[in-house]
Amino acid sequence: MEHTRHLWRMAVLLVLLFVLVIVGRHFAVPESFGAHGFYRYDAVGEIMAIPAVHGGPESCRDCHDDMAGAKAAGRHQGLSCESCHAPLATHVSDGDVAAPMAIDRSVTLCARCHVPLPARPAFVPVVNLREHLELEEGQPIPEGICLECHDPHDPQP
Amino acid sequence: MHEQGLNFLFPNDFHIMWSLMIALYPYITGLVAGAFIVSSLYHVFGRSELKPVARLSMVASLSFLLVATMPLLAHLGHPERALNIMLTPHFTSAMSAFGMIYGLYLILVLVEIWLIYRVEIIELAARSRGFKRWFFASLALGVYDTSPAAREVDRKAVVVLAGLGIPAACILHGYVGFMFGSVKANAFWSTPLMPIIFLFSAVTSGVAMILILYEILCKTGGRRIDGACVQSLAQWLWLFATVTVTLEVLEIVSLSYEQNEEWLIVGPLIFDKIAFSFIGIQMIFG
Amino acid sequence: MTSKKNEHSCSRREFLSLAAKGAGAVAVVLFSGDLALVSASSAVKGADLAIGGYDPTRHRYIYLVDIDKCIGCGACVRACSHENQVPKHFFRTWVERYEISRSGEVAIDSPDGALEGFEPRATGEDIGKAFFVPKLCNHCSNTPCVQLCPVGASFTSPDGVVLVDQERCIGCSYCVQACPYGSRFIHPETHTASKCTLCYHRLTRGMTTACVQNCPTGARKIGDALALGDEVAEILATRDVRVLKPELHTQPNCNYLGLSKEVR
Repeated sequence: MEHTRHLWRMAVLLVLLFVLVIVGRHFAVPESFGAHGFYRYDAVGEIMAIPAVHGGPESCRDCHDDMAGAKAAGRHQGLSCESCHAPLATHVSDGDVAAPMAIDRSVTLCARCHVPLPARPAFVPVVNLREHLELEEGQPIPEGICLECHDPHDPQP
Repeated sequence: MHEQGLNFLFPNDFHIMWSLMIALYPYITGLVAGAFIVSSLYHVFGRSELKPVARLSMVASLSFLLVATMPLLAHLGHPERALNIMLTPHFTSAMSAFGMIYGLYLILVLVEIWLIYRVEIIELAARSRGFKRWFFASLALGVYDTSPAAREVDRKAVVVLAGLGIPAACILHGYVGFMFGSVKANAFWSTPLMPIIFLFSAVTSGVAMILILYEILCKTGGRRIDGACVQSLAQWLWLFATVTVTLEVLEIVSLSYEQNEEWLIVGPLIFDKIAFSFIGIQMIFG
Repeated sequence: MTSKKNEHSCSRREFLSLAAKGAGAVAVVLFSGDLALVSASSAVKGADLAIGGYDPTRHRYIYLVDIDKCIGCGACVRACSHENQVPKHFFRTWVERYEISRSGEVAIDSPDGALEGFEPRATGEDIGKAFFVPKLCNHCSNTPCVQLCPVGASFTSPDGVVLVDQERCIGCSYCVQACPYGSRFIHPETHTASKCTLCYHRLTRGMTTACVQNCPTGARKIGDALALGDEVAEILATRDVRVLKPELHTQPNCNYLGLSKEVR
């Protein structure tokens, strides 16, 4: 018994270390951690505070009622303005126009939906671009050619 | 580049997230566990022929334990937040046990080494002056009892600690295997055999490491190599290697078509190690 | 000798009992803190969780993909990448193309996650069926990613959205390994786990998600199981909806209409 003094001292040391860890842990864990589950609840608020980039069709209609009205009645009514143009945040900030809205007139944009693919459902009107434009072999597809005949806000076949 | 059916990878899976650093960690903890078991063979199971390497393997175990976290820290996206795993360990995660297992094992190894070297520490404290004396005296916790009775207490305590240490070392290493084995999404790792395979390969490489280390230290230190000790180590190595190889073969035969990169990395390392140490033994006895 | 042995076994017993007491103390102190956490979370009232007028306990989001309506344009992927500043070659949502020949050969691809849609593919195979499958985080009720997160950085919000705390994530990528749907990745700039948040910043402002808003055909829909007369809830109640990998019991909240057995 008398020869175990060093073991007891070591034990006390370990207990002190342990208490230190527990106390330290108390101060190092964020306050909202564990408030509503095993996570930091403040993180929810932080994620909520991220600014939205897309505004939705309503936000476009505020200024562009004419365009939005024509589109809403036409075949492209399901399309979001920002899909073909660009997200609202690139155009408007704090309610003021910050930069002109991008306008994509490329064939690529139209082709993403209107090129025939085996997996593409039958309800989408598709055209083989080269046949449709009656192009020769190797002849490049002119940029913006779709818009010469089709109005993207109220397209007709 | 069109993938065919089963070869299809989700677009996010093109980026490999668990790579060399993750493979390195279980290898190092394997050395930790293996070295600890060598020392326990002497302390707990009384394999006195292993006495020459008992201390060496304890210190080797501690050294590898201290560097074991380095590949993990290198792997983490935010190594500075690594302590979160100790602060808020999420107990439903196999990984969260890391803090506790590692911490407890570290304390255990430190205390055991302290007990083994306590008499030396006290002698050093008595011999030195000034700051060194103060340092060694506080290491001895101010108790200078080196009586045979106190040494016997130390010996008993070491036996208990070494006994506790065997399961602790196995858990430290085996749970890494569990972590790999319990990833639901990865059917290739998802085998309950994983911790056991991990464990035996660990002990094998640990024993081999001690054997090499002992030879190197004896050669460089100009000391005579204890033939009985090396022979015993070689026997243990052979036993563990046999079990490991058997398990590996079982695993590979049943899952041969499911090889993955982690095993392709860890496997050759372990087997190279074994091969290397076998060459070492051949050279001594040959 | 005998007396000596007794003396030492006594010290050993003391040592053991000390060790046992120590271990007991460790357990009590460590777990008492976590027990407090559990009891606190069970006593929570809805009002306590409200953030800026938004009460997450009054919502339970459910997602629906109608495969027959997806035309593979990739507008959702582009919208998502803009909305959430998703890094190049990583995806919070993506679209897969399945082409299955009459002989049963399954060809799957998702070139750059369908960010730029799909090009026609030259195949000699006689295609029996072909379709697009939009994918995103399934926001599983029983999700392995939250279970496996060692630090509590991945969590399920009270309204059923699986989110990542960017301040606590240590970037171990255990969750990336664990997700059976490939919906997580380590962000190359923040070095933390990143994934679909179901546009949580939009939903909580009363807006819809970027992918749903920009889907031209209504193939993607989001609903609220706690809202009266919810369209998605009605479809879930009356139609043949399926989830991905149901055998894993992750209980996804992302549902599919027209899901074919080949889809993984």
